[in-house]
Amino acid sequence: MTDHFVPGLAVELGDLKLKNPVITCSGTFGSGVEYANFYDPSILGAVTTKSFSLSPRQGNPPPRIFETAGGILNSIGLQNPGIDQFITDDLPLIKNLISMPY
Amino acid sequence: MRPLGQPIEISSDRVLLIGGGIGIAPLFFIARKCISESRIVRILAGFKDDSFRLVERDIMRLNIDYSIYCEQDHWANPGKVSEGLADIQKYSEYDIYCRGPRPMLKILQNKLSEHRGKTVAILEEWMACGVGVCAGCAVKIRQDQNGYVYKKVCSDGPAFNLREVIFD
Repeated sequence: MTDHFVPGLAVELGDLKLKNPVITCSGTFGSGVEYANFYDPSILGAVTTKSFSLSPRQGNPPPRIFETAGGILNSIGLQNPGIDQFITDDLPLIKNLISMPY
Repeated sequence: MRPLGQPIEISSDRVLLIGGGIGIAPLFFIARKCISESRIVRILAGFKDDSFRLVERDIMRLNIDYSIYCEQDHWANPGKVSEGLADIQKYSEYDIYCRGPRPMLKILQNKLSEHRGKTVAILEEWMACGVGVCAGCAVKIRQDQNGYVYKKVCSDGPAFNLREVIFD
């Protein structure tokens, strides 16, 4: 019986030790918890949340996305509920969902 | 279920559907639902030219009252679809669902400002994630007297109260 080879994917990024090099792009992953509806984010090496501001921001007037020949341009305008809400509401969820880097 | 958003509620026995251009496409689903539930349903459809002429065949298959308007060519009633509301009192007991270009929706918003029944705008926006995360498909919705909030078409919509949509 052949042993299955499991490649080692662990990487180091500065002081961070990640179990694999797959990291979400900032701005695409909301507050880090929304995609848990679709898959387990803890399988990723790291998660980057969308940027948060001190005070809540409404963001830019629409349209915020425009299709180009090479893809899309977007200018959301940093719509976010503010850092306080992130700390109070989202961070506890993230800690539950996503394992700490090892 | 994103990006389908929230279900579109139909509660009235009388429903008027107003479509502009390709915006008429989703209204067929509402029409068939109404017909299956024995609601009275009527369609007003407006087009710029005769490129959508074949859609009349599809509307006729619904076997409901309808009126078609065309701005440039003369295969239908001349003018914009809003001409269909000239006798607006005829629809005083109807809930009205609209889907089409923003200029059309803005005109309808003004014409229907005193309408007693429900007025619903079915909106569309460019989407990136389609699941309510990126906030790309934002629409401006009136909140309180002078305030507004940005809601997402993919997850909060696509149907919004026509009276609350801010068309900048």
